[in-house]
Amino acid sequence: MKIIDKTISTFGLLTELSKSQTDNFEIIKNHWKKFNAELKKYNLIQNGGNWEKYGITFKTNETYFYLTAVPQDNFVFPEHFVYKEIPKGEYEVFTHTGNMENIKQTINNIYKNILPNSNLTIEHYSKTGFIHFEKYDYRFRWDKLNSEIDIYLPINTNN
Amino acid sequence: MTNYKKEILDKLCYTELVYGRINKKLKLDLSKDKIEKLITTVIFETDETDFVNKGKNIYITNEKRNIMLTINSYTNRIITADKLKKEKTTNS
Repeated sequence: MKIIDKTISTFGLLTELSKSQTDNFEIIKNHWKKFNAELKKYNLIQNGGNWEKYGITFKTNETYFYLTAVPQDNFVFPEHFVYKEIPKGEYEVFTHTGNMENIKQTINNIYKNILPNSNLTIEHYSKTGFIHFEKYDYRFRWDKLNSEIDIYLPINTNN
Repeated sequence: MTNYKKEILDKLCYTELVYGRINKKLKLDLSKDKIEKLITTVIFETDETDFVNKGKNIYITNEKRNIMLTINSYTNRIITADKLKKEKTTNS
């Protein structure tokens, strides 16, 4: 478990997801390429080894969306960047290791095996504004075996 | 109480030079159109309580977008835009 002790303000670009996880992998991969190009175009590049990016999955009216985002971090973002907060609170963190093509299996394992067999209660997305988010940092190496990203799920601590 | 927001949104205007100034101050490289969209969005999103009329200028502070706009209250012409917090890091 990890505590985020301060709300993280992010800005990013949004894309709509489909019902197919296979299609979503391609949608998300292409969206990251577009997002990274936009960051470069607008000179919104974080410095050196301290970079952090977020992939936030959320749902509105039965439609799933994915937001690629970076911390606000004293930048000024063009108007087409969407603002989203990651609220402070307690999160269960799972690490995906290896090729990104296998992230589907990691997420399925979390939701279908780990969570049902744990005492954890995940906070409903209507309270947090998202379902889960991925945090990418210096450990991310895209398709390398030692690549790591963290998947954060908000915990309901009221029970 | 004066409704600064509506009046500014209705009458906001730009000089040729201000686009370059805004890009320089915000460390951006936006087209004129994108600058106008950003400024309009900031004004629209900012609560009226964060519009401060001081002397000949109105200062619009938007913490979320990390930006302060300075607008001439007589002409509704944007004078400049500043970051509220400067970057700690350099871009690479």
